[in-house]
Amino acid sequence: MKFLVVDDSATMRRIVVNALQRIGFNEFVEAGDGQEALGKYDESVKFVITDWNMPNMSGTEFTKALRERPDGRDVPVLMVTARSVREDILTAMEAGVNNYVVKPFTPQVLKEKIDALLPAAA
Amino acid sequence: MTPLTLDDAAALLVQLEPTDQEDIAKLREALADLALDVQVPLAAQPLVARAARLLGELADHRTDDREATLAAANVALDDAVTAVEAAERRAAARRDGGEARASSAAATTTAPIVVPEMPSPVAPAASSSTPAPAATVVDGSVDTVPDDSDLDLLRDFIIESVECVANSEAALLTLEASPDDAEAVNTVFRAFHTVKGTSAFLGLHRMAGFAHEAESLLSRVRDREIAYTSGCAELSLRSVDMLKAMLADIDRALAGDRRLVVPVGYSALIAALASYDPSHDASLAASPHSVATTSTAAESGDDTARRAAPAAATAGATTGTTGDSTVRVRTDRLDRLIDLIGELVIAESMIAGDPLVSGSAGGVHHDLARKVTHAGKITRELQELAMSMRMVPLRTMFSKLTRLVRDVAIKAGKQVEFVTDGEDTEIDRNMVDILGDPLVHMVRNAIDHGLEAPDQREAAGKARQGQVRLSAYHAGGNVVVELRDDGNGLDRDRIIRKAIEKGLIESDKGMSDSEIFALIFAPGFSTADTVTDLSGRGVGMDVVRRNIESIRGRIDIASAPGKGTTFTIRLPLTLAVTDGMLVRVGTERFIVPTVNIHMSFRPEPSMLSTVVGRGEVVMLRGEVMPMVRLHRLFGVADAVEHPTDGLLMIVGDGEQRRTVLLVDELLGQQQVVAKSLGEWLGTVRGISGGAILGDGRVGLILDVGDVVALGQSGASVPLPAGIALAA
Amino acid sequence: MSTATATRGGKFLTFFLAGEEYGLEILKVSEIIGMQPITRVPRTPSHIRGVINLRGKVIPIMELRARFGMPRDGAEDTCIIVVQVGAVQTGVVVDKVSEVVSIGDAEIEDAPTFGDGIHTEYLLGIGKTNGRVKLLLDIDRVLSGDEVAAAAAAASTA
Repeated sequence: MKFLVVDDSATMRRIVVNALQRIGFNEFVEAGDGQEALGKYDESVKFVITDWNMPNMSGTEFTKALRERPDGRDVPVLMVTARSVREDILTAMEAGVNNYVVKPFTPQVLKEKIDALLPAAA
Repeated sequence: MTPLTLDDAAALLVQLEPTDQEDIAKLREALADLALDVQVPLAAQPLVARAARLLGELADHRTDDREATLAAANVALDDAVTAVEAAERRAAARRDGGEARASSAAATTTAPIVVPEMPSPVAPAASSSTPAPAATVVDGSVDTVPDDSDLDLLRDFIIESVECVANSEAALLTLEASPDDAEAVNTVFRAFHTVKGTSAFLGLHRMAGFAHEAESLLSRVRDREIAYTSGCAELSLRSVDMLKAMLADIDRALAGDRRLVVPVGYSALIAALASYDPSHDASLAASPHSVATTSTAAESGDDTARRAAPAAATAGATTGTTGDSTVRVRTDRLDRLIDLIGELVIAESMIAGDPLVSGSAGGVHHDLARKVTHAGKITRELQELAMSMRMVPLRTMFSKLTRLVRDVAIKAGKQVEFVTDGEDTEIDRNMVDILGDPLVHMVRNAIDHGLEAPDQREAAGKARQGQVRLSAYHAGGNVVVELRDDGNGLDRDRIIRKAIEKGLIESDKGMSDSEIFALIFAPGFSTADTVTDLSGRGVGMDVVRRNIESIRGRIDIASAPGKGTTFTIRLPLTLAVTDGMLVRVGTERFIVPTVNIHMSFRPEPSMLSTVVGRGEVVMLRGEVMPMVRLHRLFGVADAVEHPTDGLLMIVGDGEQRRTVLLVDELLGQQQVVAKSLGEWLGTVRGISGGAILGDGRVGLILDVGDVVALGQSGASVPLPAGIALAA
Repeated sequence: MSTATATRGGKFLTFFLAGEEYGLEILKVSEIIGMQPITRVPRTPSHIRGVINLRGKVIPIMELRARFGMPRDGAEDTCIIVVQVGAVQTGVVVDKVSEVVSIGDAEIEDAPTFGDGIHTEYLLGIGKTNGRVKLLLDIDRVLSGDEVAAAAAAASTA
């Protein structure tokens, strides 16, 4: 299953990818911001994990744009964030983010989040 | 509390009035939880979230039109219910009438939610993202790099974070000029945020904790909770410094014992960040922005900010994906390359000058000459390219100074607008460090001594805020760096008094303003009445001048009382090549660096005289200058004895008064590659080095400052008695 | 000189200077070049002839006669032996290069404590092969930076 990992921090992308590898996923596309992510997204991507605060185009803006695309309407989007302020989360969800995970997370927590979203996408 | 389904929520909501404050709040909590419930279909999620958010606006009184907001929440929730039903139908169709999956069926009916409960519905690790109060950490105590950390990842983290921090520093400086620049605030916020998030993963909890506090401060600015005041700026800059220190420490620890030391001031800073209250900025409240920085490259301040911030943001965003790709090269190799190309240029000019090629041997070798010319062109292009490899823009240095201005202005209680111009001007890499210290000192001086205190300025009819302008540009094959302040100007009388006091001069008789101003470059000279924390660092203007001269530069001063002072530093474009004038003295040739030459002329007999105690002097347009006969200084035979048969060259090196050198003739301008004469010879007085000339021989490059000094110290130039040069 | 006794033997490049034959340890010689224009460096001791361009590098040239306090009269100056001591290359002007010879320890005697014309402190010893006497130079000592620096200092304060 192919993941699109969006984060402006290369280190952070590596951390996410490492975690995904540990829980058994092997296919990844990476992007440094929302703009790039929109370019790299296609139907082969089955799950999106995006950072929130990124230059040029934030995770929220990216998700919103993604949801407006026919091929991006149904893909699960998990947002990685460092703060869990309710209003922010709701704003993100309104934009189409399905759930969020707070940094720092363990691979196990990430797995739970992903598993929870996968049947819904099926 | 009651478990709630989406249907229940929708039904509840329809009954609510905009005034049902308490119920709205409850329902909002329930919906927020519901939005995150994994059993709500994806399609419905955004709508539930929207409803929850709108109710939140009502609950927190963040909306003016309560009716409309409530209506919008109703619409959202209805849509959500519709979306769920649609999803169910699709799911049912897919299941092909088969076994109903409990989870899907439950979505609309039984998702059990307790109202209200948050605060953090998920994330077991969330608590560690805001680590325990760091105030308990003792400065200087030791921690270790987490054992299981992926070293590569850590190294990447350091590189990335250093870049992040640098970007945020740039953005902070932008904020100094335009505190309302949202993009700049966000850039800084993001930097702290990124560092926090990543460091938490890497087990660097202390750093994560610190970044968290810094981020919180910036998020208060971002959310307009507090303004970007000077106190806030101060804390932000200190935070940037702290992060830098911590990153450097991790880097060091990685290479060594893996022990992390808590930087001094960590606890104090973290406490200051956590308890920051802008209303306590009292001392600075009167002038919220005591320092303004502007870059004249963009005319309006707004533009400046916008230009700077996104650039910084992009740079941080795309580690390794944008920008010019680079290769690190050892500087000694680069230097050797440049040396060799210098030799190639000379070898090429020797070929071009060969009689066989130039045609002076009689034979005509047009074809050969053409090929040689072609090779010459390539060689020169190669040389230019090689030179450019050592060039770096002054930008980094300028931004360091911007930071310095800020700190010094606050300490000195001055209001300063710092304007920089031409930060893209490039200079030889090897010169940057040597130029840095003098500039730091001069900028400090300009603020500390140059600019008056705000009240004083006001009394003098000037703006309270003083201006310090740092510009760089290319002029006549030189790089010119200019530091101008609009302060009080140099105090001519005080300089004279001090100089007499220190025994530097006997009186100011016959001295021009520029000569008097140049006295501040004399060793040990200082016009400051009190040695302040700011300028009393043991370096004086003499060191400034020496540093600049060591890179073959020259510094001049212009100053007008009440109007300000301008220091002009002229530097060669590069240290690899010296622009020189090749002169002949008897049978020998010397290279005089062009930067030291003011002009040369053939004297009239009436210009020459001998002054008791000063030796031979030359008078030109009212200026009396001592004359140094190079042939005597260097013991050259068969040289022109009478100045009217030779040429006089006016040289000056900033400190000493202008001096004329007697040479036989000028042989022409030449670029030479300066080389050391080698450690075996050591320092040779009056000579700074050697260079291979066009004919393959070595020419000596004059150290003009030393030549002038030698000429003026009577012992070195034994003037024969009765040298009086009668016309 | 006694400290050098054990290792004095080896290959030597021999050359002539003012009628005497000298030897230089071949390991210290980097090349021999023809005579070329030397740029005089003012305000340096008299035994420094100046500097030359050795393929783009500026290297100093020593005048051995002056170093040994001999007059320059009759100098033929046909070539320059470039010696390398440590990282420093220095040229030595000689009248004529002769040959490379192996001189065994047994063929080397200590220099007399007093000589005629040459300072014996600059000698490793005296080699005798084929019936000829060769003065073996202790080139490190001849080029000794201390003395040059001292001389330079003396010259500049003169």
